[in-house]
Amino acid sequence: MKKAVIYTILIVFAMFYLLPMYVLLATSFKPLSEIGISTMWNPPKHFSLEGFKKAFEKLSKNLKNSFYLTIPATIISSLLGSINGYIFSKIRFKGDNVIFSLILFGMFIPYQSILFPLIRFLQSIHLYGTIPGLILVHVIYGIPITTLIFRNYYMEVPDELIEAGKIDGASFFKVYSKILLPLSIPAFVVVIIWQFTNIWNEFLFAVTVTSNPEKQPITVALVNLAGSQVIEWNIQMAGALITALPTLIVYILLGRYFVRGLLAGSVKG
Amino acid sequence: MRVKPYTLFVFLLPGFTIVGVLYYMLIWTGVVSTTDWIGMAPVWKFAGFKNYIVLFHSPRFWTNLKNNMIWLVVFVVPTGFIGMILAYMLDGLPRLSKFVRPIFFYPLVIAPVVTATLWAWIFEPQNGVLNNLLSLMHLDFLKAGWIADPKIAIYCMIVAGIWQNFGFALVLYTAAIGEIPRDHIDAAKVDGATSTQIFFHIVIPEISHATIVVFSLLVLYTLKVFDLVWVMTGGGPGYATEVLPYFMYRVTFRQLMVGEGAAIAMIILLMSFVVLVPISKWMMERWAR
Repeated sequence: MKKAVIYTILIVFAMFYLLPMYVLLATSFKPLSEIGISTMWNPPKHFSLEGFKKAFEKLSKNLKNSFYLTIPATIISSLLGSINGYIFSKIRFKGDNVIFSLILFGMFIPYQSILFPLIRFLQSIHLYGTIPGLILVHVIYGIPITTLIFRNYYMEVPDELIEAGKIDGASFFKVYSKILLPLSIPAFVVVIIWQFTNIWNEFLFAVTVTSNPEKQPITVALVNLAGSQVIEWNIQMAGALITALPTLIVYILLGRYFVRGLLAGSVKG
Repeated sequence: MRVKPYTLFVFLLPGFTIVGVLYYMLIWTGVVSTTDWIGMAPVWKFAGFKNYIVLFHSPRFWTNLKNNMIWLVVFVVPTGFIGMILAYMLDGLPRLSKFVRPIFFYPLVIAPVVTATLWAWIFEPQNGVLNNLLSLMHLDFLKAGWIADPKIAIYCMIVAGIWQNFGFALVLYTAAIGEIPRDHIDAAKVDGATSTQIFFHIVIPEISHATIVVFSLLVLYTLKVFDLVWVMTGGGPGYATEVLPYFMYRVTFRQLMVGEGAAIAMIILLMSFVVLVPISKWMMERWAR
């Protein structure tokens, strides 16, 4: 009896989660003519790539932009986070906890409260409307979380290991590059996946910083994909799938690291 | 470990500059919220609390605030509690959960604009997926305008929000429940406690740290919700689904009322302080050396 209740709840929930995915897949592989009123829930009768072709034509440039944005922003914010994490876990200095809490606090600051000055700032350094400008924004906003994950990871590395390095005459940077960095691969995997997913999916900064359709990342282009007249839902769904695919693939291959990232900082929402 | 101040300075510089920029911009917004700035060119004319007073007299602002409160109640509470309960249920079914959990997690990695596009079609008012399903099931009387109906549009949007973020609560609660020492639960079982009793007397108290994080971050989410509004309704019909983060964007970048937009941004920031300050303090206590 109790089992039956639990299973019923689980099945209902699973349906709620899976049906939208079914809709997304079924619609995107249909020709427009099949998205009629009576056939909407049927699987595609004629497997068609028409939607994908059209969506890809419009989105391919933005897909590329998204990679040009996400990859450098992820790498830079991860490296800086790693160095910060090293400092805040292994070195004591005056005010270290105050600075660390300022960084921590920065993680939660709502985007809106810095949005306009950010635009002005980018305009003044002539990066407004460009991918490098957007990279800078994501580096700024990424530092808190990457610092936090690396710091908590390095806290587990025994101080003796660092001291031993120092006695052997390794400099501050050598200790980092020769001792800590080789141990950091798991943390890097977590941080890189976390940053990649979030930067790829981000919309507000992207839409505010880039107004030229040629420069926009794919999230913005997807939103603008719908024409002004009749919305062709097969193209919309194909576009949505193209946008979602890179992060979905990462999740399918390395999902447990994403979950670890989520737990590591318990993190920005 | 001790290092020379000079070395430390060099290594701290990049991170420090960046965080400095963040706070500089925050203060900047605060200052601008007290000016008469309209249009793209800066207008540094002090106006005191005028922008705030204008907002407090505007019905649109109160609609926005009310909508944020609806999100707070209708989104946060179910997402958090169902996440907690389901995590507990799945904890008792280890083999099944391995296979079920990914189903709930995958929307977490999907871009919110994708979620919004997908659910915009499901809730499409004429021949959308949901209305279609209701027709097929001969439940035509349940058909509705969904996101085009000002009375229910915001709830439709919240459904999409729950769909996307529920996995977050589940992940955190699953981890927290997994960390409960098994002998606590086993001992209670030996004493004849039912699983409901165990849930209330052992599980809930032992996962309180997860509850703090989950609910705080879900509350913060409601103060940031933007993509769903933009894509699904554009704040409409009328202002029926508009929330403060979206309002701020419209006022600042569409109407170019920069001073007033900054005031909205400050109100959002102050509201977020309610959870932001305690959670940051709490995290520091846990993590400070």
